[in-house]
Amino acid sequence: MIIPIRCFTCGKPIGNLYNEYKERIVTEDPKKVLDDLGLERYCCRRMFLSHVDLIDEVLEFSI
Amino acid sequence: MKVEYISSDDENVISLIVEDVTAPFVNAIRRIIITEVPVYACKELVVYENTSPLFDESIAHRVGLIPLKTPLDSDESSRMVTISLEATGPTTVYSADMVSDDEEVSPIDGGFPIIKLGPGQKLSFNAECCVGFGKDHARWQSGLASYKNYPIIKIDSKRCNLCGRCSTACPQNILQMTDDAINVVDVMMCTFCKSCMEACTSSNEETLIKVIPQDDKFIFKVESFGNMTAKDLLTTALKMIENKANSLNQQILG
Repeated sequence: MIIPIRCFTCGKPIGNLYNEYKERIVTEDPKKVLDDLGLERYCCRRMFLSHVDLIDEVLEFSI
Repeated sequence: MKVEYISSDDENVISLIVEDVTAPFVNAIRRIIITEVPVYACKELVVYENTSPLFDESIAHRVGLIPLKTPLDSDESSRMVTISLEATGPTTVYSADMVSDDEEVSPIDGGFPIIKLGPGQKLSFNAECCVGFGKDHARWQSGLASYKNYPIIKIDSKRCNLCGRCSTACPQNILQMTDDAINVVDVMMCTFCKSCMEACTSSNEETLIKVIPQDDKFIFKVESFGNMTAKDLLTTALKMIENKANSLNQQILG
């Protein structure tokens, strides 16, 4: 849906890094970007690698 | 007890080499850091208007998990801080848009996306933030700590035939081949995978390289999530242990 605030497993805050990650992977290797962002453990890395941003799909609906 | 700092340019991380202690002692500090350090986090959300695609609960959960800067002298009796937000779409609402009534308690970074709003959608809430502990909920978890035994790598240099298999097998590349010996470059990077020992056995009858965890020496790493610096996190955790020990002492003495 939208990038989680914290890593599910270790609790490290990661939400604030997502915009930079998304901008940089267009031209750079995701491995290098994740290392630069300080995401060392594989639990935090999978948060970005496996994320599918679906918020735009539901944006036309409201509750 | 001997303690040695390993310098780091990030104030949110500190590494120590602690000597002459037992694993239960280091583990006690680790657990206190994760569960017992008092920090601010948003506990309750009063939603006035929400026409966004997400439910109130989902937004409350996201706002709760945003780490807040916490003054060092905070405890359970510290006052409640209110953080409010008002936004109209189309926009992405970030943690920077939240307004706190106490400057010392505010999001550690303005870049956390809370929600995206479509045209005409509105969101307004008051978030009530109070001090809590990591043992109750992840929102109050202020950091991570971990430790491992200090590795000792012993190489029988007299009998070593310099086949170099251990050097290529090491996933951390800490064994470097020179013309007349195998050198350990950065022993702290060793993960005790023992690939070098297996590789050595495949070419020799006996393992000539040995990786041994030192029982009374640990590499201790503290990582703060930003509520306070890693050093403050460690000192606060130590203070919490001290308080617990003091209260036990008082109860015994009556």
